Amino acid sequence: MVETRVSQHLVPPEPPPEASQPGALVWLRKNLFYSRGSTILTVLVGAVILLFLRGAVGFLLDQGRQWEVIPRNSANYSIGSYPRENIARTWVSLGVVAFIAGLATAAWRPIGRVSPGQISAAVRSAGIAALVLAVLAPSTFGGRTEFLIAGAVLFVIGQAALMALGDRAIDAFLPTLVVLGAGLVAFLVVLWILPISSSTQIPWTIVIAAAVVAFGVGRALIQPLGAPTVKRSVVALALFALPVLYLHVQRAPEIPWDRVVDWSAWIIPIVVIGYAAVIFVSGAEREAAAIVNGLLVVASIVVWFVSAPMAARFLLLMLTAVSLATPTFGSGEKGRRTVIAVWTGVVLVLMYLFAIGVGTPTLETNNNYFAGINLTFMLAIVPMLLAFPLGILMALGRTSTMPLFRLMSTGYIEVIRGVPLITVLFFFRFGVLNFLPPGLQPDAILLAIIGITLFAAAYLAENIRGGLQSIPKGQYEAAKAMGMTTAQMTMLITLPQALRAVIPAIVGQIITLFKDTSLVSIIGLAEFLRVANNIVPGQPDSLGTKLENLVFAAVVYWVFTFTFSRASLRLERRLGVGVR
Amino acid sequence: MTTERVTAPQTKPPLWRNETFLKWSAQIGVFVGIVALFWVLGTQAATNLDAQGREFSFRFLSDPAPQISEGIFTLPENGLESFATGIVNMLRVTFSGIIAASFLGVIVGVSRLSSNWLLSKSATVFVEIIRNIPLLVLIIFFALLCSLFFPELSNEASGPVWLIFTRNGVSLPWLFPTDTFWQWGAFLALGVVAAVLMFRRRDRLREQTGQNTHAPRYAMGAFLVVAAVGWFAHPIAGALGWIWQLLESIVSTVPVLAWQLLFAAVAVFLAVRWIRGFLDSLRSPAGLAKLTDDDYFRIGLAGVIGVGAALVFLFIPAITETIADVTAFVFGFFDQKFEFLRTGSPMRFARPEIIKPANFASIGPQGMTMTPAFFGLWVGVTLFTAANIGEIVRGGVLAVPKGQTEAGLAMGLRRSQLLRLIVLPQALRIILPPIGNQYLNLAKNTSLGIAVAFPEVVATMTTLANQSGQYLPVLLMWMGFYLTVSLLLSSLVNYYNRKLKLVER
Repeated sequence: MVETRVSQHLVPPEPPPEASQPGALVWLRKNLFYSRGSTILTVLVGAVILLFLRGAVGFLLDQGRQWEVIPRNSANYSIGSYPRENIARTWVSLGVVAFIAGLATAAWRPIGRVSPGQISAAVRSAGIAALVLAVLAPSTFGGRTEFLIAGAVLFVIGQAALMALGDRAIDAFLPTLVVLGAGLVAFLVVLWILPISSSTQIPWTIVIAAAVVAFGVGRALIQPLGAPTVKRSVVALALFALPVLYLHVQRAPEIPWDRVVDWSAWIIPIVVIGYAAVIFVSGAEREAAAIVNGLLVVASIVVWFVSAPMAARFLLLMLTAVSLATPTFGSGEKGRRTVIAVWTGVVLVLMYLFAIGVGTPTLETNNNYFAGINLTFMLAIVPMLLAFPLGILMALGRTSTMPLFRLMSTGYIEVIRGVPLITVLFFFRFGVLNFLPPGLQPDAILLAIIGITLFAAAYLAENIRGGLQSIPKGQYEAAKAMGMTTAQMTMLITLPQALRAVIPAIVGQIITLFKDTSLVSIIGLAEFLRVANNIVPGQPDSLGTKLENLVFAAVVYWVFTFTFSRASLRLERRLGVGVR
Repeated sequence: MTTERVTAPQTKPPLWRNETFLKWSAQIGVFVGIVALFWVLGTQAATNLDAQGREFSFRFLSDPAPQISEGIFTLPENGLESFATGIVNMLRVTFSGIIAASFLGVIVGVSRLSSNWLLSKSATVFVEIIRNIPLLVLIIFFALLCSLFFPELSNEASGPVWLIFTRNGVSLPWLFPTDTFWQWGAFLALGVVAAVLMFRRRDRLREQTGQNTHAPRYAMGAFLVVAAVGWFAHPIAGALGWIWQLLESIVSTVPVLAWQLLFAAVAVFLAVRWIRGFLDSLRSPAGLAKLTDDDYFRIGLAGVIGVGAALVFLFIPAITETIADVTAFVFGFFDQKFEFLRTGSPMRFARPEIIKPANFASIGPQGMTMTPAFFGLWVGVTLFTAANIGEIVRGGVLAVPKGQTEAGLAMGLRRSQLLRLIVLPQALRIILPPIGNQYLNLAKNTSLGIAVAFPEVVATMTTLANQSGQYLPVLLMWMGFYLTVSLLLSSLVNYYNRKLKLVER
């Protein structure tokens, strides 16, 4: 879209379009050989590309390459050293993720269409690519005939489809959902045709079935419940599923009941105080509520400096957050019920997470539970979620009128943005142990997550600040004129708009973070790149295959990142942020 | 309901309703909380170190340091030399990377806009491939490519060569500075001054006469003349050595206490000057404006910082001692580089040479050899930054209004002229700030060199931290170094940004 506009405005105006159907020769003349300079350029660039392709293809298909290493290590790549006899747990996790993805697809129906002309052209291009590959392949390459045949077949299919579509090639459209379904079917067909062990085929089939079933369930639920409720439930389910899958399903912890009993001396009073506090605050005068909230803030800080269980500290922190939000969201009879429900949910979820979080895993393994692409996704998703509240706080602090808050936020943001991520990771891997009590030896993954969170929060804060500053002054003034407090104005008026405005920037941030997770391989965590760069080539039967593995890792990263960035472009268009 | 108006007595609101009080207590409360957190962590760290019989110190900077694979001190005598080696290596990659990425990025960006289908598609494919692969993968890949898959040095070859790719790296001819380089460097600095003066003069002449006075060419000529004269006259500049020696002896003979007093006085003086300037800025003919809480806070903060800095200088002599030592070291370093009437050519041209010390050929010490680690890091950051710069250039060119292009075409400009004279100068204004950010990212991304064992700042200092267990001092040094680099680069970019900015009414 953009490219066509550009090339039009930089070249001399083209002659009016010819009446006849433009043929291949006309296209070549127009786009490659329209002047003497362009002809020379085309020949030069073409020669360079051919040389490069020839070198790359010759290198990748050389006899010495051992590509069979990659399928042999597919389990290592996905889950690393996770105990193989418990592999069903990771399949269950994948199934749950697929289920949620299916629900999400039903809730946010993917709009947009794909033109069959585009698909046919893509098939034809794939055929051309296969043919070029076959021609350029080194003489030792065995699969030349197969490539030639496959390329010719694809080319003929694509060309025939284009010709059959004729004029409708551009106008006709297929809904994205149909294309998605066709893709899943094609995946299943390929899965069952190729010689893959059934221990891979059957789980994958079940995973895809889960996605399809979830899609059906979601569609059926939208009618009675309404789309907004379904969407909200899907988000809540996804947020809850994340810790459950990582902490409970994949670690299979033994719940330490004795410790839970120990905590209850702290927890039960906090829960009771919590109910009393939120009920009081939701019906109280402004000042009385402020006094209670102030006491809670003080208590939630003090509890960190006395010997209390971590669970109690966090629970008190959450109570303070809920209570602080109550005057804004939970006033009135209905609000009171909501606040009580929220507090109950917070207590249950937090206690459950703490119980499974501190439990010792029961699975036998020589190494860590999380590795491979599993860990890569964990390191991209969890820090981003944790960084969100921190980033919002920093952004509010930096745009605040209160100088000390502004100073602290600005200092934090600028210092973190000034140093490379690897130094932060190093410090959290090795240096931070100096600052903790001798008995406390946190998990390396947990430390990496904290480091990445603190790093990402600074960048996120800058994005959100951009959103906050883009909000027209009238919105602030209108909120003040309505008699809103600063907290209400921020939570109900400005922050929602700011967050909506910066969604594309935040998606870009997530993509960057996904690529940056590769850095933790330097500090020794077995994420995807470390598997490719150290673990697989270190096996006795895979020595000297570093390059094959690196190329594979690059391709996998590329596929994920490219898909994300395309999806974010669609999202941007759908939100229409720039357009409105 | 009563309708009578009740006039509330004008009283100050109670403390818990006073907004100023609430805001300040919240801020100070959070601030104190954070300080307390750091205090607790710090005490814990002190206890831990005590239990291990160690203490927080920068002593690793003077202790012996391990060998380094490449750089100015491959066998550093102490940690400071190790640090210096890391800095120089990092700057080598940064500067060469910035230059290469700028060229390549502009080429890519303009190619993406080309009307030649093949060229624009190739540029698009390049950008999409490079931008969507983690930089770390690129760096490891290229380093591996060099060290494993480049040709082996043939045993028959010998003698000098121009450019050779081997598994030991990429060797190319290079100009090396010699003993007298710094004396010539003094002339180069003089040349820059001459060029600036010449440019200003010709520019003024242009404004007076309206003629094109070729100011850039004259400025370049002035620089070249001074540089050429300096090439032969540099032994005279060696006289500067005496000045450096004098400065060094002044720094090292004046007692530390005097420096401490001086620094403290300067800190207080600066704070007082700032406060007075601030108050003056609030003063109008009608008198001093009413100060807000914010203003009081700023004044208070400036005062606290000034007095605090003075106290730190007075009560911790180690800081002043270090500053004096480093300054004396720098002056001593310059002193060595200058010697009156020391002769010799300032630069030496050398080609790489294949030598055969025993049975096997190898690349000799002449010429410049990029090691595989350097090669991988340099190619990786260059390609990655070039792809990003390409996108920025494309966006900047697109942002130039279409009417400019049309007007240029209407005046009969050729496409190349259009790009060079109309589009790119206007696009430059838009693309410069984001490109500055890319340079900053490049500088920070060089820290990934540790993955291929390239000894830059993070790698050398990590070794020292592992050896001494002093992670916090090392983190502080990293922060200081990278923040300095960021600050320098961004102030450079801001300077050019201001110069290029359109002056509007």
